Amino acid sequence: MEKIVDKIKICIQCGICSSSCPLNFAMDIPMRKLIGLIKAGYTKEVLKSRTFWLCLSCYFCKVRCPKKIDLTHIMYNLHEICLKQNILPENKITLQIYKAFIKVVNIFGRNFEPLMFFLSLYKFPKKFLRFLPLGIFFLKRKRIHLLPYKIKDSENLKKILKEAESIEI
Amino acid sequence: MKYTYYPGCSLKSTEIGYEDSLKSSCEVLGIELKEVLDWNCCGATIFPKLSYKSYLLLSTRNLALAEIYGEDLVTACNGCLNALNRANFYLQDNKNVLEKINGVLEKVGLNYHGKIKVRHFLEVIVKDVGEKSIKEKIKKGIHGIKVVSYYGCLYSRPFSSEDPQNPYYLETLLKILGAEIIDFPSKTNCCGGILTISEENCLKLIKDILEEAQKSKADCIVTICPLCHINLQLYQKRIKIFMPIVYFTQLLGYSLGIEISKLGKDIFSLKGLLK
Repeated sequence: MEKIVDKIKICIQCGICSSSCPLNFAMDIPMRKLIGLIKAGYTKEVLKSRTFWLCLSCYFCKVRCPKKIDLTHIMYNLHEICLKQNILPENKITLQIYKAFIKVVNIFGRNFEPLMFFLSLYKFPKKFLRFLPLGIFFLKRKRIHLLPYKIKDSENLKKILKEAESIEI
Repeated sequence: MKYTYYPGCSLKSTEIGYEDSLKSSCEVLGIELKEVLDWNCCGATIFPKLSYKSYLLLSTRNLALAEIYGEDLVTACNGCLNALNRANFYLQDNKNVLEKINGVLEKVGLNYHGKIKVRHFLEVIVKDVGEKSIKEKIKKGIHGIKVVSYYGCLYSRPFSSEDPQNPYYLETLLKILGAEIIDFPSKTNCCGGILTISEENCLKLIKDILEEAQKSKADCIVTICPLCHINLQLYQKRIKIFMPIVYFTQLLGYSLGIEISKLGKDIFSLKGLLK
């Protein structure tokens, strides 16, 4: 968190981040306020917010910020801080999608969409049923590989992924 | 022309038509692509959220593998372009982190020196191949087709030689092919990415894009990213706006005289318009 505070010290609270964000309308705390709250030390409120969980990584805020603050990177960091403190997002499906993606990549070394999709939604039957017709439509329209491809060095990749967790950056 | 090629997961699993049309177009244009051996997922925008270190490792492994070939690394996926570039620039700025990541990669016999350039396939076609050589090889052209070009966010943001909010290479290419370009202010808007699955709010973003394209009376939306393509296609039924979505490589391949069956199914939605 201290690292983030350092990065946003130069923020002038102009609000261009909020006005650029495509999901600003869905956020409980707009970006500008979120940055203000971090600056003022309201860490608890910040981490409880759904704002950064809605970040789409579209980089609009970053390229428009007059102070060139890498806001997208800060949104990334806030996810990690939350998970370390076991603060979970209001929208459970979002986190489940992320975890499913990471799981699939850990097994195969690559993403395999159909499995990722299943792992993301099988715990949420209502949502799953809503997406089923879309999935079928997709299968009909596209020529897709139905079996996942495992990279040759997948075992080693899994090992070094684990090892990377212990380095300091 | 030689390039190292990073397909990304989508082009190998759900978006085979994109890769087919890309590869067949390359053959006609005389571009030699060498696929990175045993590449892995780039980390996309998901790994950096939950674990930045794992993301750096994933992308750097790809960069290290690609560096062996010594050519520019090209990809046709905005997500991969962004992930690989982001890691690349981050490591160039933070040499101490590069050392640490290399320390881990060394255990599998890899080392990244930070010398590679990552580029989008669109840029390669427009900048390196150029108007003259493309025009020489055009057999059919797509005259009379009205198109809007949709870049999505991660092609021009945040790392690009183009204007982050108003890129124009796609329009340049489509103009060369003979299409009628319609101005599209939403061209770098976000499609919602992976969050379209969990957030209903994201459907509004897709709706806005489709609505604007429909109002402009375009025949199709041209995309350059598999995720944008899927999002714009998949939710049409729910939003109740119907519009053909095609990859730029499909229109390129068609113009170059490649058989329509080799270009992927999306292009069939334009069949009535193609001569």
